[in-house]
Amino acid sequence: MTNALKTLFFLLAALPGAALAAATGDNNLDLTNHWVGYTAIAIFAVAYLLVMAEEFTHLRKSKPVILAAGLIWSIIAWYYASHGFTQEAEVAVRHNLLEYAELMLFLLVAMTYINAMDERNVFEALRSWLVARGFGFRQLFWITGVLAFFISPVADNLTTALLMCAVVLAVGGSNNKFILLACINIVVAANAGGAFSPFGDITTLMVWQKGVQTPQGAVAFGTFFALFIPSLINWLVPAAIMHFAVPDEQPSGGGKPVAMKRGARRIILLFLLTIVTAVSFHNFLHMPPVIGMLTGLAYLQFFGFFLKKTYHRELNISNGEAATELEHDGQMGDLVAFDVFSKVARAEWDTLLFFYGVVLCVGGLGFIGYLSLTSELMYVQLGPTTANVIVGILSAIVDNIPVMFAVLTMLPDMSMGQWLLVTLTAGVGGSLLSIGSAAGVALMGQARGRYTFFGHLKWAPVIALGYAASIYAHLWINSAIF
Amino acid sequence: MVSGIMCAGSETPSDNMSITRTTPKLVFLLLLFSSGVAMAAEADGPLPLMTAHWSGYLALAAFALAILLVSFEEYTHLRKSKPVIITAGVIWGLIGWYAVATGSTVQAEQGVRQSLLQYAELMLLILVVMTYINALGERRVFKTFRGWLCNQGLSYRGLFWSSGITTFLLSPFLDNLASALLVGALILVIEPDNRRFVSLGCLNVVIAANAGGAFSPFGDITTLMVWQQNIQSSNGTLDFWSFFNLFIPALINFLIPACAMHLALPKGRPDPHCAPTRMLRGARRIILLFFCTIATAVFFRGVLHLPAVIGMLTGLSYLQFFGYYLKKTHRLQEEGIVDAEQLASPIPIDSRNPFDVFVRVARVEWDTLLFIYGVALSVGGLGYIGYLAIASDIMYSQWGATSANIAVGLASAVLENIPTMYSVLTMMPEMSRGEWLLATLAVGTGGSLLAIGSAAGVALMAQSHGKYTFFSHLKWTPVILLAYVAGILVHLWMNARLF
Repeated sequence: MTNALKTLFFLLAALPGAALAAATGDNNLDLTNHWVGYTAIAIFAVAYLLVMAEEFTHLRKSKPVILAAGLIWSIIAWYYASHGFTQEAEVAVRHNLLEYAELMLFLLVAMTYINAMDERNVFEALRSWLVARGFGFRQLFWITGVLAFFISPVADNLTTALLMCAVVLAVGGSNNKFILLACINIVVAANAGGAFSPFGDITTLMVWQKGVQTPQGAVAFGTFFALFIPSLINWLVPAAIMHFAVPDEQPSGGGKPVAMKRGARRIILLFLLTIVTAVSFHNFLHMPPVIGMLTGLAYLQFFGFFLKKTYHRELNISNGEAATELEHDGQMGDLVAFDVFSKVARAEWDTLLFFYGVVLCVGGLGFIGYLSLTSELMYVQLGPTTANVIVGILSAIVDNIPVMFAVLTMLPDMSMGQWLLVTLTAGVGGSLLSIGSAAGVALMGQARGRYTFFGHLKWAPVIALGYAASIYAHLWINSAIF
Repeated sequence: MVSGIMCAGSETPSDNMSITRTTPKLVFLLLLFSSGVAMAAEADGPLPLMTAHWSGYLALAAFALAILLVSFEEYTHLRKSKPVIITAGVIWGLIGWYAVATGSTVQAEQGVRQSLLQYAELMLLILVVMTYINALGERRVFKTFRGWLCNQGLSYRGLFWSSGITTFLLSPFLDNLASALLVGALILVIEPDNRRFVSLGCLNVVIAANAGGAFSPFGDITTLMVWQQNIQSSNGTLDFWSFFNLFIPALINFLIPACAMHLALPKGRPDPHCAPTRMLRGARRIILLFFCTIATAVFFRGVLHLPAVIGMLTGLSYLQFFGYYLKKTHRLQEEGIVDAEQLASPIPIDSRNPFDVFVRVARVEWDTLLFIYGVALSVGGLGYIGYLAIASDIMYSQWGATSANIAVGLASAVLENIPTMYSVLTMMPEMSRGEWLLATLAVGTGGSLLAIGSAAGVALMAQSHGKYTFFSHLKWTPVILLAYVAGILVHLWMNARLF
């Protein structure tokens, strides 16, 4: 079903191709009506088919796209080289690679911090506290939703969703209905919470990093917060409706209280400091934020070194434990400390590599000239508002990273309000289907068999209601910046 | 961007003398300071050129401090990545501040993006190689080989030579750190108590790993860096195959000390007990895929004119698909990880066993990756400021390229070889292919002179628990120096057509 839509989309996109052939770049060959272009699209479509079928084939989604990226670029480069252009393709691919590298390093640092916090029992302490307070399912449903909505602007939404899902699985026990509803709620809340903060979502981050110039000024860090109310509505509407379906019972079981380890609060503080560093690098020094993020990683590394060196101050545990602790302190800020949190680590690597493949594939299609065609079709013929709403719906079917990447590569001429609209729709549109966002995909793995594609699909109409409501709210509240 | 390089002044400002001068490096830095100040006069605008501005000096001082901390890693146990990452932030922060003050933010941002791109390509390349090494380790390729060699009943001398030759042949494919650790483990397993044999064996492995890495683009990070840059030298592009001209010089660099040490080895035959192991299913096919991956990268670079890293990542997907195939055809009684798809994950596979050698390799490698990030950005920053142009002028124009390259090799025995090579690449002096190869050889093998000169030496010192030490290495330094000179002379003579 999804593939049919996708194909249709590209067929539509290819139609006005002939008319536009002259309009594409100066140095680039126009390959949109050439077999090279068609082959590239076919490879991309097959790769995407495999990505969508991940649930059934259990073939991790990074694999087909990486191969597709290699194939698409080798066809392009071969064609260019055989026509005597050896520089153009290399320059273009490097451009995409740089774009990927910045985001990858940014995410790596964020993930390392989350792992360090997890290792210090920050999240475990939160979970045990929640369980010990004896909340009912309905309260837990709201608590996890609120937490997901407010953590995801700071952490990225994938990580937020995984953490909240761990809480839900711990307290939900065998109550599958609660787990399903709570997971849907988490996915919606995490995506909505991410949409209004550059740190919350990869797509929002991409828009921020691009530093788009509009007639109302640059899309800067602060402007995204205009999306707060629309995002909130996007989450509240489905949550309020699902509330009545959540069983009104008490969870069974408890669990002993967990205390945070030494340095946990300081690590949270350092994480906030890192984010401040990244923002300052971007705003005051005009450097890519990723440089600030990596500088922030050094804070954590030095703090880990400090923890290791001052470890002797609290030796009230057994020798073996002490050795393990010492080892962990030393690794603080280490990217390998990932294996402390091995499940997430694997999901994250899959996501990071998937991201690589997608950026290069879409970059390749853009280099061929398809993105300018799509831009022409959607943004000129349909108008920006309709186009942006469609982008959101598309992002439920196709992954939202390539969709946003495509929009940013097109770089249509839009007002600030329209850029925020597309940020909102690409961020929250992914909630419509479980495969629409990284958070949904990850939870399908974590709560295997309880949170499923079809379980999510049943609630899609309610989520769509929230989607429409949030767009109207944005158009109405932020009408000043359109 | 720096126009007045040629007027390197002689007067030395007293306010910059406060920095401790412990190594020749710092004297060199002072030279740079003085030349910078001389240029201050001809800068236009409200601020002087950054090379002659306090922000530039601060950047240099931060870098010098970081390099000092890295050199003392042995004593402080502060991983070497940490100081350089923060230095990179400081240097680019200063540049950003200066750029805001002078209104050149666009150039500064382009500069940092350029450094970042170079780093990213290298990092992804190393990541793929690392993933393959992890996968081969999980399939017990190295363990099997070690067990086989161990049970051959060789004498000490036989073991010495077989481990050296193995390392020399392995290091062109794996990087030299991994190959030194893998073969070094064999020496430590066979006779952990024979001090003399362990010390000489480890030394031999370090030299072989460094020499073996010098002639192959995949053998050493510094060689990889040179290849990855796709340098246009004054007599042709430095492509994948031209590095193999270094084979004979590298071999000589390995053979001379090995022959000398041969005489010092204990006689007799150890009686080791190693349990034989068997490779797991798919091991041979993964080796094959690794070669296919390298071929893909070379093809992408050479034929398609795309960055090699794209080919490498495409090659990663071969391993990923093969892992999927292994998982789908998994038979219950098979050993190894159940989810064979994880073979293609760039993290160590068995996290429950932290003493597994691959977890350690991976940890060191991650440290190296972050270290390279810091170095790439810091050196890139110094280059952006203009200091490297000054240094390049002093070294490559005034001393001549050959002496400069030999000096760079000697420096890499004390300093880390990655920043050394990075500086040369950022200077990008106009040299012939022969000179570029000389720089590659010198940096690669120069690290063997001291135990702290190469990642392989540092790693084996940590592993041998005080049997292979800085001083046991130092005793043999004259012989290694002889080999270093011999290797260079052979290169100058054999590859004279490339100069």
